[in-house]
Order: sequence, then C-alpha cells, then structure tokens
Amino acid sequence: MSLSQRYLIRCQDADTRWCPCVLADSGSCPVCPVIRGEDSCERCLWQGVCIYEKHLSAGGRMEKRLFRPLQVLRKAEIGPDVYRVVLTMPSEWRFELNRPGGFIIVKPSGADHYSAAPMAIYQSSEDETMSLVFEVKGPKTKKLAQSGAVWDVKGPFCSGLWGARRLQTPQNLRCLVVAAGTGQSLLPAVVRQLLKMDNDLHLVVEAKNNGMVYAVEDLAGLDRRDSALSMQLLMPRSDKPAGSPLADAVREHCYDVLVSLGSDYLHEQVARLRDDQPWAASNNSVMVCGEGICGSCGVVLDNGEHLRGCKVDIPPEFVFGSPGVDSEFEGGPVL
Amino acid sequence: MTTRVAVVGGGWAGCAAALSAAAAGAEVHLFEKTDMLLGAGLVGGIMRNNGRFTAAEEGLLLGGGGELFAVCDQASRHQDVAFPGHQHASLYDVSRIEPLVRDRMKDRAINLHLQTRIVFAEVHQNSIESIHCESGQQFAADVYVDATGTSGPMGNCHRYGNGCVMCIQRCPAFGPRVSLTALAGVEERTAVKGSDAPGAMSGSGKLHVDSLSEKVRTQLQQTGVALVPVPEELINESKLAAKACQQYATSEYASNLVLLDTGHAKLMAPYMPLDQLREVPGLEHARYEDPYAGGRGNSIRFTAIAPRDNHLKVAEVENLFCAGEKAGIYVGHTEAICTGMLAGHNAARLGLKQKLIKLPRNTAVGELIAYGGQQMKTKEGYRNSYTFAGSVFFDRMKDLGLYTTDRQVIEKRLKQQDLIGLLGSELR
Repeated sequence: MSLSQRYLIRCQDADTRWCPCVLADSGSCPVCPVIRGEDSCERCLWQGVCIYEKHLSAGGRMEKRLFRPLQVLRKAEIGPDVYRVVLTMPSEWRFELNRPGGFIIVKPSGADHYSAAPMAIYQSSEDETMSLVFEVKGPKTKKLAQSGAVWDVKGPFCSGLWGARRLQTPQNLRCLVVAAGTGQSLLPAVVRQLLKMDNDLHLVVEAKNNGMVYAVEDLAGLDRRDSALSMQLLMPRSDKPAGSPLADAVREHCYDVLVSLGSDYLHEQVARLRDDQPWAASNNSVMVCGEGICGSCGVVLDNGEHLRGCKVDIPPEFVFGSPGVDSEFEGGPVL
Repeated sequence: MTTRVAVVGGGWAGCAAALSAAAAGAEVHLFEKTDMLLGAGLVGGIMRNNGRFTAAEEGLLLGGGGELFAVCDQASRHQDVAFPGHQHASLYDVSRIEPLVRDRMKDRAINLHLQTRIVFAEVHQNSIESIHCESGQQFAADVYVDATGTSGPMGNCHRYGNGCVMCIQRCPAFGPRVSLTALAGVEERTAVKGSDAPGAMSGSGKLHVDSLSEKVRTQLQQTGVALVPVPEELINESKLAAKACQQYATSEYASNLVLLDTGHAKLMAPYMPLDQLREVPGLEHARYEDPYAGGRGNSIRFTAIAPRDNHLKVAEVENLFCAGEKAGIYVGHTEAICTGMLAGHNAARLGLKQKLIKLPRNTAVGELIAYGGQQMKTKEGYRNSYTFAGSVFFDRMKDLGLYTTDRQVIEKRLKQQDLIGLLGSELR
C-alpha cells in the first residue's frame, strides 16, 4: 500500500480548459491546497500549472462540459442485452477520446440529468464517429437501449483508466492486459497504446456470463508485428480466476506491466496476483454528473480521504489489493 | 564506517552542505529540481560587501563548503566595488559561475541528481527513512539536509506578492519548490513584512545590459556600478518596506536606480513597471532579461523557515539539518554558503555518530547562526532579515568587533580557537 505516495494522484482536468472547475470554485480543488484554504503551496499536487493562479485570473468564470445532442448513427444488439452504438463525434474530442481511459457521459435525449451514465469509448475514428458497447444492467442502460436517434452527450472525459499515465512510457516490456465483460470496451485504446511503444502483449479476455467476446476481432487490425499479440480466452467466472490460466500466466511470464479492465472484483484478483509492477485498472466509479459535485463517484482511501472518482486518476493500488478486502466481494454493477 | 547524506536543494546552501559533508567523508547525493545548480545564485553576484568580507574569509579558512568563496572570487567580474551603503564588494559573473561550481562538485565526488524534484518523505519514529522523487522513485540516506529555500512557489507569489514573474526558479517548467522540513511534518515559520503580510519580496531584478544607454553600459563595465538618478515624480519610498533585503532599503535606493554589473545589469529594486523604468534617463530602451517579468513584481520568500538549533539540526526530526533561508531569515549567497557548510558538516557527523558542533559566537559565521536563531524565538525577530551585508546584523557585527577586512586578524581569531580547516577535514 503506498498511500504515502499521495502525490501520484492526478486531476484529469488540471491542465485542460475545464480547469478551474466547480470544485475550485467551491474551495474543494483536489490539486491545490491554497484553494482549499491552506496557508501555503506545500501540499500542491503539481501537474504543470498553478491552479490557484488560473482560479484567481478566471474570477469565477469557468468553462463547463455541457450536454449536447449527438446523432445515434447505428445501434445493434451484438449479443444478449449487449449493444453497440455508433454516434457522431465532435471533431475536437478526438484526441481526448483516442487515449486509454477516454469516456463520455450519455443519456437519452431530453431525459433527466440523473439518467446519465458514463460510457467508455470503444473506438473513435477520423470520420468523426465514435462507438460504445454497453450491456443492459439497470434502468439507465435499459432506457438507452430503447431510446431513439439522438442522445444527449457530455464530454470528453479522460479518467476512465486509473493509472493510465503509466502506459505512456513503457517500452519493449512484457505487458499483460486482462479484460472481462464490458471492460473489453477499453481494450482497443489500451492495446494501441502498448503496441505503439513496441511492448510485448499478452491478452486474457474473460467472456463473463453472457459469453460475449466482442473486442478480439477488432484488435487484429492493430497488431503490427505478427508475434506480438497472443491471446488466451478464459471461460466465464465459474472458473475461479485465482486458480485459472490468468494466475498461471502471471506466474509464468513475470510481466512488467499489468492492466485490468473489468469489475472491481477483477481488479482485486489482479491486485492479488501482482508483485509491485506498475498497473492500471478501469475506473468503475458510479458517475452521474462527471463534475465531482453529485458525489456518486466518491472513493474513500485507506486514510479516510474522500476523492471524486470522476475527476482524479488514482493509482489503482490505493484502492485495490488492500489486505482487508474480502476476496469474495462481488464487483458492483457497471451501470 | 561510512554514511550517506542526501542534500535536497542545489542552491548555494545545498552546494556548500554537500561539499562539507563530502569533505568529512560522507557519500553525498544532491537533489535539485531544475537543470542547474545555484538557484537564486544564478541571478545574484554580490559577494564580500561589508561584513560578508569577514564571513567569506572565515569560510575559506574553515574549509569544506567554504571553498565556494574561492570559486566566487575566481568568477569575479569586479572586485573592491563601492555602491551606496556598501564597501569592497565583489561581483561574480552570473553566466560563468554555475559550470565552475558544478565542476567543483564533481571533483569532490558528489552525486548530482538534477531535474529530480522531491515530493515526499517517509518518516518513521521522528527520522526520515527515505525521500521520494516526483517520478515515484525512492532514495534512502542516513542523514538529510533541507536546503530547499523559502522563495516561491507560484501560489505564494500570487497570494503574498504580485504573481509569478517567471523568476530563475522556473516553477512552471520544473515544478514548485517543496520543503523537506514540511514534508517531514514540521511546522515552519514565516517572516513578516513591514505591512504585516507574510514573507517578503525579493529585492533585485535583472535588466538586459544591451538595452541600456551607452553611457550607463560603459560605466557598468568599467566600474561595476551605475547610479542612475530617478526623476522626482517617480520616487516611491513606500515600496522599500516590502523588500527582503533591508540592507538595500534605504532612501538612497529610492532616489537612484542602482545597477550592478553581474553579467546582467542587476537592478537593486524589487520591481519597477517597465514604462516607469523607461522614463529614467539612460534607460529609455530598457527591458528585463527574458522571460523574467521584473516590471510586475518579484518572488516572495521567507515563508518556510525551519525551527532549528545552532547545530542547524531541525527540531523534531532526528536526522534532518537545514541551511540557507531554510535556517533563518537570511539574505544572500554568503549567508547561504555559511549555513550550508556547517549543516553539511554536522550531517556527516551525525551519520558517523560523532558529536555535533556549533561555531563560536566570536566568529561572524557563528554569531550569524546564533543570533538568527535567537531572533526567531521572538515575535519581533520575524520582522527583520539578517545578513552580514547590512541592517541590524551588520551593525551588530561592528558593535561586537567582528567586522574586519584584515585577513590576518581573521586568521588569528580562528587559529586561536583551533577552527582552521575544521569543516574541510575528514572525520574518523
């Protein structure tokens, strides 16, 4: 546990045009202690810009992400209760959404704000479209599955993968990416990033209960070196991951980097198999507003500190793999 | 027996501490957030003025980090310069000094970790166990020296000054200053400005030499000093109260612009709006050195001073020493070197399990450390700053008979107390 390394926590918005945000305005900036009312800069989580300066010179003005109507170009049920949706994409979102952890918040057109749900970007393309894959789990996704030609969309967000920064630098390393269920939606961006840096990649995809493995075919095009991508497909969860090919792979290959894309349950399994190599894990926080205000994304660290899961990039070891966590703990519903 | 000393902060104080610790036989690692050593020393230059002469000579005789005074002498552009309130100053060349110091550090086998910002300290039972770099990398030493200074960072400059003016700290590029003392959980002290605000504004700026009139430029080059009269309507004495360097806060400095040749034209005023500056005859085309915004303000300093004893050991932490501005409201490079050379030496002593030393109060350096520490125990003490070069401490030096420019007197004084080479010899 390395909570002492609190300085590794990053705000997804600190160096963007969305900073300062409503959190700074309310004296709750996760980065700047002076904005929070402390006397000095000592506890600044520096990210390359002085947010206090931005906050003062903004004089209360701020740029907010707002819902905007975007066209649903295609919607297909690609498996039982699993939908793939293609939307138009504002061209300026491309660079944010292209990266591991890019996501948007969507709701049916005109629906109440509390109907909004975060969705990972599965693929974004230069023709200004983006696609998502989601599974119907609760009322929000049910409504989305039924709703029509236009969705209200807010974005772009980029904190969908905790520890994503750690995937920017590894080069020529052995990486293991584990994806389960709709966690597969984060796969293309992660795989693209790791291959770009000439890493060796092993991929384990767990289909989960509905048997859906949708990402693997789409990845084939990404592999520039024939030998780089080797894949093992695991069976659904009845095959306990702890004694599964996942554990065998980790033991056998001494990976330098691990990436866990799936439920918090999966993250706990990976955390347990991990030594101290860098890792990243999908951000499964429940989100509604995406501004750090509604509170539904709250993450409580071991030291009692509350963070907003939608805003910050937290090293996943701050959250997963604590000795006290019940190994039978079930991953929460995705949406 | 060996010991490992980590010095955080590569300004004059940190360099002096590292040299002393290395001379005493420690394995020394120095961590500096930017890509150059010397910190504010990169825009400084004024040595040996007034009581600093005595202190520099003491430093040379004490050895260890004191050898840096020889490096400054070697890089002098001008020697024996007089300007208002100051005698026998040397001005080192700011563009030559850093590589000379860096070479000296390498010669002494000091491990330099540049562009390595420390952001966390692992503390266990009142001792620092390891420090963490921004990258997450960790480093463990036996003893630590905090020479991180007290100026900036941007939030403080904004809150207590006129905002970031892009000073030599270059926070936007290398990240803000971080205090090792604060990271170790020690509550720091802050100086108080005349107007009851915390900290003080740095006292000098830098102009581009080629932007000055030929007359001013020639005068600077030939004598090291140019006194440029300020038109009556521009004189603003109120600005003096905010200044960190009280030795330059006299009315003479309000009615004249004092420029010194350090490679830059060092402007002995905290700041001056460019349009006003250009109303001064001879400075009609003046501009500040890029990218420094000297027309707007200056860095804020003295907001993070460590409580410490006269060994320069930080209170409440078993293995942490402090130097430079961290050790008191000390102004200047000479003061930084003098505190640094003792802190580094004592750090090595602690690591080698030897008794810590104080410098006697009948030396200028010993008195500065003791008097500065004593003043920090009083509320009033935080309203002053302390320097060999002027203001209250120089008066005190004169009263106590400590100020002299006679090398033989200084040598005799140190010899009598067996101090010659004390900080430069290996501990066994």
